[in-house]
Amino acid sequence: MKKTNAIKHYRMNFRLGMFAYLMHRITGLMLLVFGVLYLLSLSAIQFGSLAFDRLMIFYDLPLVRVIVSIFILALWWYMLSGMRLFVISLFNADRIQQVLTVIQMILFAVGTALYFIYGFNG
Amino acid sequence: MKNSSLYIQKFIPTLNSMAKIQHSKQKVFWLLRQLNAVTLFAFAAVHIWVVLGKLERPLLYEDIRSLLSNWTWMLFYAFLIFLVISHAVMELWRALTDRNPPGSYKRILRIVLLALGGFLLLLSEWNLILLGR
Repeated sequence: MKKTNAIKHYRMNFRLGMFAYLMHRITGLMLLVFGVLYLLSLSAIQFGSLAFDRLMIFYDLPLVRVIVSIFILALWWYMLSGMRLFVISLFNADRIQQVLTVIQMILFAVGTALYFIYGFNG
Repeated sequence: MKNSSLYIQKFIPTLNSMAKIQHSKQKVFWLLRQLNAVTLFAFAAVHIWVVLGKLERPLLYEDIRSLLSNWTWMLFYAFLIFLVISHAVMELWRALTDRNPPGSYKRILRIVLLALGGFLLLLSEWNLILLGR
């Protein structure tokens, strides 16, 4: 049997379930990179409180805030996606995974709207 | 005995999904992943509320220090850091061993992930102590 590579396999089977799976992996990877950089950046405290405050003010610059917002939304998606996977695993809910993905997308849209209304400007 | 265990598995789906996993090591790993994910979800939600709702922006050293002077918050963040790093290590392990690579690759990967995770955990917990002082 001919073995298909991963990208070809994803393209051949690109449906809602595959979209959810890929998004979980992509947001997970984004959070891994951002999370490691963020945790390392907090080491600024080793150079004193002034250095730490400068870092926090840098994180509050408009452009940086937009970038941080992308990661907050990635975190929100990842959290919802994780809960969807947990529900599927807990209740053997494979049959309703498409419905759960749609619910996840609706909750993501609601959360994103609430974030830009209440959270973005502080 | 076997019948009663099958009866339990039938009515408790979690045990049913666990029963599909053959090796006991994998079962423990699976259970740890589930527990880690659910706890992390709750802790991350509280953290988002603290950063976006409780504290004022920009977050400054004095504000964070006064928050962490409460030992409950200190413990909360110490545990959150542990949960985040352990989740990252476990998920990275799962993603990188998805296609069942050779044992030697797995051994090296395990050492690398544990070393990096351990380093990041120690550094972050130390930073947390410095922030709370």
